[in-house]
This record gives sequence, structure tokens and C-alpha cells, in this order.
Amino acid sequence: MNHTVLFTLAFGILLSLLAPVPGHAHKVRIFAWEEGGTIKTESVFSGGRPAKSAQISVTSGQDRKLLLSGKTDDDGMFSFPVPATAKENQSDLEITVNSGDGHKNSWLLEARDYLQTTGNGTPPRPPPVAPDTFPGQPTTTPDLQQKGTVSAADQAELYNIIESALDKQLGPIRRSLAELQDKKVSLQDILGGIGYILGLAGIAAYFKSQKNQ
Amino acid sequence: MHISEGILSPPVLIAGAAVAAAGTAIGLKKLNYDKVMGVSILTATFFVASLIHVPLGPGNVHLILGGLMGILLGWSCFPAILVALFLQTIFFQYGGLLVLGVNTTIMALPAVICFYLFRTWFKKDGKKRKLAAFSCGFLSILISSLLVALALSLTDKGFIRAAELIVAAHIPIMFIEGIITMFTVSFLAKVQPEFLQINDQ
Repeated sequence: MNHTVLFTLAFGILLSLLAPVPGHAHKVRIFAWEEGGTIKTESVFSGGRPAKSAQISVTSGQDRKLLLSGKTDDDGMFSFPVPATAKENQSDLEITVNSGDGHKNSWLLEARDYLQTTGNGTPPRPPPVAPDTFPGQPTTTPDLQQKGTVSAADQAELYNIIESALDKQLGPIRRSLAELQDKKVSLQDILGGIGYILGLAGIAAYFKSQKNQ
Repeated sequence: MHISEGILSPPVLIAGAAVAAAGTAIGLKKLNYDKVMGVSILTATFFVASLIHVPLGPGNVHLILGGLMGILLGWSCFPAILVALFLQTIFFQYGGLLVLGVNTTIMALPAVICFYLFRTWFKKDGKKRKLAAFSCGFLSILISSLLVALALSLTDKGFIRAAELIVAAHIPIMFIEGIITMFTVSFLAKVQPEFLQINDQ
């Protein structure tokens, strides 16, 4: 008898190791962040496994129009450049992942979170000296104007360098910030849930005992 | 096993909710004073079981324990699973409130089916009981995955494709559930035989 049990156990474990897609998660989650003009998304199942080749669709927050869609790679990543229409309308992006087996989740990337740094060549606000260099201004002398242009160009370049360096530095931080927004299961939740169950049992027992009398 | 919010079409949601409501009503009616504590303990077990991830191969699996609930509770597994899923939804965002009915049906209906299929075998001792327990654990997951596939296919994908994907994903869990149900039942039969017989009245 004992041998049969052992055999079944060993067989079961062996089979589960060989099975191509073991396990099934409770939910899939997605988080997105902006890094140097592209929006990166990462999709993982609740166990921590990346969601491979899951369907990603990006819709604009206001008019719910589908902007683009794609599939995640082997690491559950999917990245795309900031859509031009979204940049114009300053609309929030709703990024939805559908893993195809009944799990779906979405992440709302607000416009202010990705528009701040999508500059890459065009700073959202020109540096303070820039107004001096407008060619239309009659008061500036030619050589002063030229000097102004140079320094403005330098500044723009500097701005870009700082921008891209910051992006490189801040990318991972944005990623972990986005990841942190996901609520993890805590011990309090579990104990609270068990407490609710016991409370319900008490209520049920009360009503059933009333009936017995 | 938890289908997320916003995937299923309204008719599927309504059908699932109707089955869950009927099952819960029957379950609550069959529940008597002596059973309440047993039901709540199993509810708590079910609530916690799916949180414990066992790393296995490249991924994780977690227990569902549908078969065990069916054997021990019969129809009362409907309210038990409903409560546990509701708490999982609000505490951990598994599934959703609108799909609660469908998710309850997916996990509780196979448990009830297994209960009726194998209940006579449980009264017998020894090998047959063990086999029945294993089959309960195994079959409840198999039928659950088929129900998930059915629910999904009624909404968009072809049934065969969805069923393949989901059944394949659950094969390891079927064996593990079967084995765990078998051990739990033989343990209970030794230590607390009246717990197994609570459905006999």
C-alpha cells in the first residue's frame, strides 16, 4: 500500500515538473513608467512569473480610443514610444494587459507622469535666456543676438544631456515606484479575513440555534 | 482560477451569478447548527490555501482544495466558497465583485458534482476511499478548468483553444490536489471519522 502512495506521489511531482505551463496565478498585474520618450510596461503574474506574449492595448484616457496594441516579450516587457496624439491632447494612457486565460488588468499612466520628460530635444519650457534670442526682437544688436543664440543652443544641449542622464538614473526608480503601487498580500489581510469568516460562522450559528429552539 | 473583472460578457456573468445564488441558497438550507463550525474552518482553509505559493518548476502553484470542500461539505461548499472568494476579492483584488458569481460557480459546482459522484465510496474503508478522495481532488480541478474555458469561450475565444491552455496549466495542480485530498481524507478517517460522515444525515 505504502509503495503505491509513494509511487503516486513521485509520479505526480515528476509530471508537474515536466508540464510546460505549471501553475496558474490569481491575477496578472501591469505597471508602466516613462523612460526617455518611451513608455515601458512590465506584466507579471501574482506569483512573480512574467506574463509572456500577453496582449497589451493602449487606449487614451478620455475618448477611450485604441492608440496601439502589441504583445509582451519573454520577460513580460512591452515598450512603445509616446503616441503623438496622446502627447498633443495631453491625455492619460490606459494600458491594459490580457493574458488570454481570464486574467486582465490595467494601469493608468497619467499625462503629467509621462509628459514632463518626453522632451528629448524640445524642452517643455525654454530656458530663461531663450526669449532674448527671438529673432523678431528689434532692440538686440546683431552680435549680441548671435552670442545669445550660441548660449541658447548650448543650454538646449546641456538641457538634453541632463535630461537623458536623469532619465537613465530615474528609470529604475520609476519602475520600482510603479511596482510598489501594487498592493501586496499582508498578514493583516489574512488574519482579518479569517476573523470575518469566524464572525460569519458566529452569526450563522446564532441563527441556526434560534431555529433549533 | 479567479477570472478578472471586465473579461466576461453580461449573459455569462448573470448565468454564473444565478447558479451561485441557487447553490448558496441550497447550501445554507442544508447547513445545520452542528455543521457551522466545520464549514467555517474549511472556509478559512480555502481562503488561505490559495495564498500559499509552492514554487514548482519554472512557476508557482497554489492549492485550491475544491475537492476536499466538496467531500466534507457537500452543498454547503457553495456559501463557504462564496464567502472566501468575496474576502479574497476585497482584500487581495483577486477576481472582482461582478465576476464573483461566476468564480464561485467555477470552484463550487465541480466540488458538488464530485461529492455526488463519490459519496457512496467514502463510506467504504481502505483503498476505495483513498481512490475516491484522489479522484475528487483531481476531477474538481479538471471540471473547474473546463468551466473557466467554457466561460471564456462564450465570451470570445474558441472553446478548444481556451480549454487546452487552461487544462494544460492545471495538470500539475490536479495531481497535487488529488494527493493532498487523499492524505487529508485518510488522516481524517483515522483521527476524526465523524467529520467525514457529517454529510450523511
